[in-house]
Amino acid sequence: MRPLPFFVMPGIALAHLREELEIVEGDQRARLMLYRYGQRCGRALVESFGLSSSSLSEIRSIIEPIWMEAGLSRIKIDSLEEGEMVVNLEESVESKEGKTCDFGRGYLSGIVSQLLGKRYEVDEVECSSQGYMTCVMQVYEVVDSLRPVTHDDQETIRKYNLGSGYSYIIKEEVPDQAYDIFVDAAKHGTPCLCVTREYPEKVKDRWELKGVPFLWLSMDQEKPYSRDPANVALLYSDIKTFVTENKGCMVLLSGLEYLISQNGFQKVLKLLQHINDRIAVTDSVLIAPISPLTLPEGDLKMLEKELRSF
Amino acid sequence: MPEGKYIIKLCLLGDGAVGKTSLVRRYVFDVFDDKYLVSFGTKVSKKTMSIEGSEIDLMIWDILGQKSHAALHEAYYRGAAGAFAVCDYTRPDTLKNLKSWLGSFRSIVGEMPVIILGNKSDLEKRFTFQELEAYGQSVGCLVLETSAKTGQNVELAFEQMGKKLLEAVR
Repeated sequence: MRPLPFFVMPGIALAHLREELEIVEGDQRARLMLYRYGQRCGRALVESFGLSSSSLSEIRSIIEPIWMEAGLSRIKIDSLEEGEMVVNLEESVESKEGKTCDFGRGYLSGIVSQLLGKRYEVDEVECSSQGYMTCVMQVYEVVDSLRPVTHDDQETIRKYNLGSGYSYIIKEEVPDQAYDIFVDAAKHGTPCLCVTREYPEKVKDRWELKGVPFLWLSMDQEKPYSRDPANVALLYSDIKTFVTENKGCMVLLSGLEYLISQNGFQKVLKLLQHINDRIAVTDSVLIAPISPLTLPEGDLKMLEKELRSF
Repeated sequence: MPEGKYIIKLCLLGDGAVGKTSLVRRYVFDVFDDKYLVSFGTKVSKKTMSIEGSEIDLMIWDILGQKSHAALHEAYYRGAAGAFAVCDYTRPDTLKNLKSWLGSFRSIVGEMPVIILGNKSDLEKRFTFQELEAYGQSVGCLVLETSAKTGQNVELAFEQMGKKLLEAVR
């Protein structure tokens, strides 16, 4: 077996990372980014070791030793029930001067999610930096809203056959053709993800999309499928996860104009480049409708260079 | 030999509860606490020592005794110039397990100086110094018996290690 490389950092490194993120992104975004980074690290650790577990009740014997080794805190699993776990952390390296354990929370979420192959989120209900004796983490299962239900309509013939492994830009004022392609794929057994600026319930009704997961680009964060348009890192992470878990899938990214208005062109172009790479290696398809009148010619040319024109 | 200043990484190896943390605390802070609390992660303590005109900043890495996944654990060994392999006189299995600790340490850093410590010498022993010495000879290591509680040989062990490390780095 090839040895797995690890590196060692002092506990204070997390505080420095938090400080940098707070300066650049603000406190709330910094917390979210630490949490998500923790999730990635936790998942990567479990993946590297090739560990898995069939139930929440089994994972105590796995989590405790790997957690203790990482040096984030002491850990004690307080209670374990189907779908939920309560964990106590003592001497957390993060919990100082009012700062909560965001990386640790994410790390725990990543470890549990990867071990069980389901999505688990973690809330820190008490933190020692806020005067409590210990940091108390609540780990709970979240139904994966990005799991597609596919069905193959045998009675109709598939209209479009786009080359897999490519991303397509479709220049149109109203994204009707893009949806037509997307619906055609969804109806014929392709796992599909719809990222849209339009309210998903309306899109579902209009296009009769059943079993297709949605991500709604909206400031309204009330819905579980809402995604902050300014948080392109989270959006990329969701698309990447979907594409990785559903090879050969199709992703519709409708609302590029909105993303550009929130983030600037360069940031969105970078997002598309990253997604394009994932699409290529997973033999999937991305379709991105755009209204050409909303973009300067140079920007449109850049998009056309990165993506195939349909 | 040239004089100079050196920063050297030293690891403490051995099963849980053999007294690694207590040995560090005795040497660095000259204190001992009977209460046992399992260590987590790795704690690094610094102690400056002067040997033969040279100044050594010893970075002492107290490594978790509960072995879980070798790759994660062994990350801590990288760059170490030596190690104490610690066993507990009251638990013969901790002597037996030194073989695996030494093996994984040497597989990462190579033939660096290692001193074997039979700790808790103030308690009733379940194996003899001769047995410990025989094991030390078989793996080419100096052997000392120590007590973090009384301080027996703790200073001496670090002095001996300092000399060996200095020989190795010069």
